[in-house]
Amino acid sequence: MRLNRKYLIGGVAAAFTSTAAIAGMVQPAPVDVDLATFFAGGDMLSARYAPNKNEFIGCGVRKFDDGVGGATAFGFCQAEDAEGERAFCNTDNEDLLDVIEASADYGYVTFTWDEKTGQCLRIGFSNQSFYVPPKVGSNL
Amino acid sequence: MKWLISLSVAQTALLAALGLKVIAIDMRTGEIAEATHTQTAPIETAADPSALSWDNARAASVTAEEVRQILREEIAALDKPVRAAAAAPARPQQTTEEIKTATTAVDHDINYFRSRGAINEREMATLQAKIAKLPLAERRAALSSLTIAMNKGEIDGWM
Repeated sequence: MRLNRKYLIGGVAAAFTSTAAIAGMVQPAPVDVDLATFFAGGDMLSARYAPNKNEFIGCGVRKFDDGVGGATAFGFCQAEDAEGERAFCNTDNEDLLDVIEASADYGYVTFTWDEKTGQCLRIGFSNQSFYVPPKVGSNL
Repeated sequence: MKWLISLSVAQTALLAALGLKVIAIDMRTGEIAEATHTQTAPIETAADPSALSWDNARAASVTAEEVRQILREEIAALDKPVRAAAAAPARPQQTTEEIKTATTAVDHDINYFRSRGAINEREMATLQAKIAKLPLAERRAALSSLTIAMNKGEIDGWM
C-alpha cells in the first residue's frame, strides 16, 4: 500500500511536470517602479494577478473634440509596484501616442519620465507569448 | 641594283604625292565643316525662337513682360499653401483674459485635489477635459503640475 502511494504521488508529479513542459515559456514581470531612475515596467498579467492590492501598470490616451473637426489628445502611463511606489507620466508627443495606441492585451509595459515636468520620455510595449495567461485558449 | 634605286625614287615620289593629297583633303574638310556650322545655327534659332538655350538666352524674344508673368506664376504657386491653411477652420481664438481665467481655474482644481489628497475617476475626467481646452503651453504646464503632484503622492488616484 505504501509502495502504491509512492507511485501515485510520483505519477501525479510527473503529470504536472509534463503539463508545465508543454505550456511554453512563461516570463512573469512583476511591476517595478524605480523613483531613483524614473523607470517603471512590468507586465499587465502579473500586475493583475499579483498577490497584493497595489500592483498595476498601463497607459492610456484621452482625446477631446476641439470643436473644429479635430481633437486635442494627450496620453499617460501609470504604475504602482508591490511596495506601493507609484509613477505617472503624460505626453502629447504624437509618436508616443502612437505607441500607446498600438498596445495589446497582456503585454509588458515600460516607461520613463522627466522628474521636473512629469512628461514621458520613453514608452514601450512588448507583446510576447510568455506574457499571455495560460487559460486564454489554445490552437493546439 | 639600278632597278632598286629607280623603284625607291618612284616610291618616294608617290608617297610625297599621296601626302600632299591628304593635306589638301583635310583642309577642304575643315572649310566645309565651318561653312556648315555657320549656316545651321541661324536655321535652328529661326525654327523655334522661344526655345530656351544658352544660345538665345539674350534674345530679344524674352521680354520684360514675360519675365513678370513667370514671376507672377511662381509667386502664385508659393502662395497657394498659405491660402489653404488660412482657409482651414481655425480653433476659436481665446483672449488672453480667457486663457488666464481657464488656467487659473485648472490650477485651483489641482490645488484643491492636492489639499484633499485624492481625486476620483470622475473628477479626473472633468479635470482632464478642462486641461484639454487650454492652449498647448498652458495644457502642458497643467498636465505637468498634475503629474508631479501624483508622482509625489500629494494626489492619490489614477489618470
